[in-house]
Amino acid sequence: MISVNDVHKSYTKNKETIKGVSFEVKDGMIFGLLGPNGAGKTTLMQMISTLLSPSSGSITIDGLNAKDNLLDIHKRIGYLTTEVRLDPMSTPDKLWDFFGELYAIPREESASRKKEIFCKLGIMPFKDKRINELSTGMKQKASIAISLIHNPPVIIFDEPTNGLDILTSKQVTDYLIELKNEGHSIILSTHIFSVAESLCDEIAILVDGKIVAQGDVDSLVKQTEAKNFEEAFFKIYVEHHVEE
Amino acid sequence: MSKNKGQAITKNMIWKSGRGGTQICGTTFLLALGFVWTVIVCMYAAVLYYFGFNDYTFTSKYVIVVNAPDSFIAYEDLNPYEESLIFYEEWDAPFDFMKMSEFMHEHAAGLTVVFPDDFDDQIKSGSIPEVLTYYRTDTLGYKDLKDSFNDNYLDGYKAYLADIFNLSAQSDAWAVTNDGIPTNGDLSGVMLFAQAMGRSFLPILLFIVLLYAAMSNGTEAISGQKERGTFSRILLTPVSRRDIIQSFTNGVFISASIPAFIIIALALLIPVYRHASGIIPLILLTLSLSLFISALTVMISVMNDSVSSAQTAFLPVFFILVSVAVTCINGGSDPEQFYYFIPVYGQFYGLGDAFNGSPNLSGALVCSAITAALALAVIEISTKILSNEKFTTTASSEDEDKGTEPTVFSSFIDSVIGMFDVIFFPLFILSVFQILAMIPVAVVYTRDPLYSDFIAGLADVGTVGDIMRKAMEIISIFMNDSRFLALMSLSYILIIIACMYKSRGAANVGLIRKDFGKLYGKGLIVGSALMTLVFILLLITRHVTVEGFGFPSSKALLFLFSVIMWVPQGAAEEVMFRGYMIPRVKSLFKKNARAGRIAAIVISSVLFSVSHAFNGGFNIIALINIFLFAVLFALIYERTGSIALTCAAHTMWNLFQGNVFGLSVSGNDAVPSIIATNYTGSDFGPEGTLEATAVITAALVLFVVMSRRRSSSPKKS
Repeated sequence: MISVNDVHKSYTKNKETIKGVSFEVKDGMIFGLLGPNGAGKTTLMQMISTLLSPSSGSITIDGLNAKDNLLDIHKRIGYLTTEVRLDPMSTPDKLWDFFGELYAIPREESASRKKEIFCKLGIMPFKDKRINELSTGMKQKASIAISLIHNPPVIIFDEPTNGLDILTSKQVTDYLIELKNEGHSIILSTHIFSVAESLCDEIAILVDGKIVAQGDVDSLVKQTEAKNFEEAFFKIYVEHHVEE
Repeated sequence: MSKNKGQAITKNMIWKSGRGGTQICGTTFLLALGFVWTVIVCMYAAVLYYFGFNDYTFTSKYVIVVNAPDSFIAYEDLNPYEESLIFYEEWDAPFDFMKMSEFMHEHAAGLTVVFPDDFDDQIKSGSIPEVLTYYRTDTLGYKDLKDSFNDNYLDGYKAYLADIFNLSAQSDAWAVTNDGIPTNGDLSGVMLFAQAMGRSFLPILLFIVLLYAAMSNGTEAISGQKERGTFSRILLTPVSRRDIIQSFTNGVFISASIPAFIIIALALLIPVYRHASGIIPLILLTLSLSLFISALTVMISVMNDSVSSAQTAFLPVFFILVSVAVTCINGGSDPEQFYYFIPVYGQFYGLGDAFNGSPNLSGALVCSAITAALALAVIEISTKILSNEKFTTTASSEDEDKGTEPTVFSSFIDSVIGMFDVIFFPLFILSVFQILAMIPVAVVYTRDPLYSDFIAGLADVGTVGDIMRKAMEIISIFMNDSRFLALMSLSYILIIIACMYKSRGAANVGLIRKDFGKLYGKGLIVGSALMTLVFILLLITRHVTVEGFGFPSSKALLFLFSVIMWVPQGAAEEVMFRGYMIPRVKSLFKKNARAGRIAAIVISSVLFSVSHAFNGGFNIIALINIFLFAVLFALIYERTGSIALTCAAHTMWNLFQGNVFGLSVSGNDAVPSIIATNYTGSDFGPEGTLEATAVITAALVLFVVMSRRRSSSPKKS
């Protein structure tokens, strides 16, 4: 379970990137963050993952905060963004073993888990190829696999289906649903409405560092009296965005 | 799960080679190692063969006397050397330590005493002749043999000499020198030189290798990972920040220590540097220095976002440590005691003393402990830095609101890095190949009696400047050796290939196929015409008078070799300073093409000029002349886009100067020439005279005017 309480973040003195955000993600739930570029999605996810710390407010994961239990949180979260890349000269197989050691997963357990996840995501055929020889989709799948190496209860994925073709995208979303059903709590950010619609149990729309609307797809559509989710998003965005 | 402390990071670092941003450092580093290996192997092969003596199990008491004067033989008849045998040998070259070693091999002797040819005459005339001693170094017993021979036997000889030559009237001369016949200290000139090397060259080599290896691995480690975006994933593993820093430091430490210990092992193969008492200080000092440098590089790596910025930030550290080393060399071999306890100074002096068999164990212990403590403090600081989010996340592309680094700064850093590559690569390979070509000739050279004076001078070599001057002196002498000329020709060809390889193709170093023959032909005319003009001016100003024509047929081969050598020599310098350097400097100024052009011409010309500064007789006029010469050639290169013309002109300029007019070429004395001349100008040769300034300036003005006219005429029409 993740809870975010009135979090603010500013990089420079007089400008806030995140202006007071609160939400909660329960176990076995997929929470979607939707918003235009520069709304602060990545900053928010970096704060939840402990890479950044909030200027004020608090974030707890299963009741733990980053200040006192940093390494325990690290054991509990799987994090993936476009900024987190894999060593281009290594292979998925070697990287798995490397991170398996850093997460101190026993050797046999790591090997069986590797086989399971690599099969599920279809990584097996290219597991010994160098990362820089892989296609975007393959890289993304390898990246997802390695983010989940320690079977984390909390999953934070930034644009997991970005740049993937329909087939790969389906493979990934199916796997996310499977994880949700196993009881993981998942935070997703995405641009793709269909993904948000089909996957997320709850969606928060982030504009200029604030959550301006929150709820499941149906309630958001109803709230704005729109025909579909896409239209609902645009209505909400136009209503709240202030040109500077 | 609590056991994990990030050892995987260390393992991963050691087994991985540098890549991406550090590839250049990697190749340069490998080249340097290869070079060091070659030099050490050559030294080892030569020194061990003659000084090894591993085939004896007893301590020999035999003594060889080379060029024994009549008085000595008479003395020995009267007072036979009690302890054992004396053998007599004759050899012209007193400094030919290899021949002396052969004598010692032959007679299973432990000591060789070499008298000058005219010893008796020198004694009669009242001067003090120099007597050399060579002794084996495999056990310290031979030093005792030498001392006892000197004290017990030669002292008697001294008294005998005073007696038979009736020197009582001049006994002052003997009294002053105290022990009568001065021997050249405890060691031969070569051994002194080897010890000086052990105190300067070996420690500085270790310093540079440690710094280089730590820099290429350390800057790659964290800042490289940040640059590639792979670092945050490591930060998110349940490994504490301290363990992350510690394991990266361990990785750098181990990968930097390996080459350092390879060099130590290689050095210990040479008997002069092999001392059991030195091993522990060597290990302690090297390990502590390596740890300290590794901790520093990791700290710098933590603070930077990219490999190139980390390397730039590391450069001051590099230069500070190297200049400490250089001050140590210039400080002499007997520093104040407290230096042995200060980090870095202690390492430098301690390493030198350990190689020379006089280690300071307490100094090494204290110094290593202090250095290691400093390293731990640096690791602590790095951990603190890594806990600050400013240094953990790289600027994300999505959140534009973040205060990103100004781009101007990073491009400035790129220029600095690029500049080092441009400037040091040519000079580096030039010096490597020149030294390699010298090795075989140098070995031959010690066997020649003609050069005893030069070798005797090596004993006085103390500072870096002295070494430079001696090296240049050697090159001047070697220019008269066809073997050296042949090897240098080969080296120049290798330099051209190295530059071509680095620039990916001949066209990228200005060797353009189009019009090559035509331009080369023009260059032949330009080069010979310019030099002929200088020669005519020198004749008019009476700095040169013609004395004769032709050279002995015995020198024909040498003449041929030097003529052949000028072709790759000219081409190699043109490739390095024009074809390789100019486009690279220009590319650093992407935005301002005009500034780039000017900078390229000025920088390459200044470097070309400065690279001649160590030649004999270099003066300010030579500096200006060579600079102007380089500017002219750079402009020609710019104009034609090819170095064909300047290659030929360069070759002809040197060829006419040295082999036609018999003048010295950039301070290097001329080889056989067609015209024999008597020259009374600057020591540097015509290039150091105002006459050359006049000719080059005129050529420069003419070229600029002509190219202006040519470039403006098509516009009008």
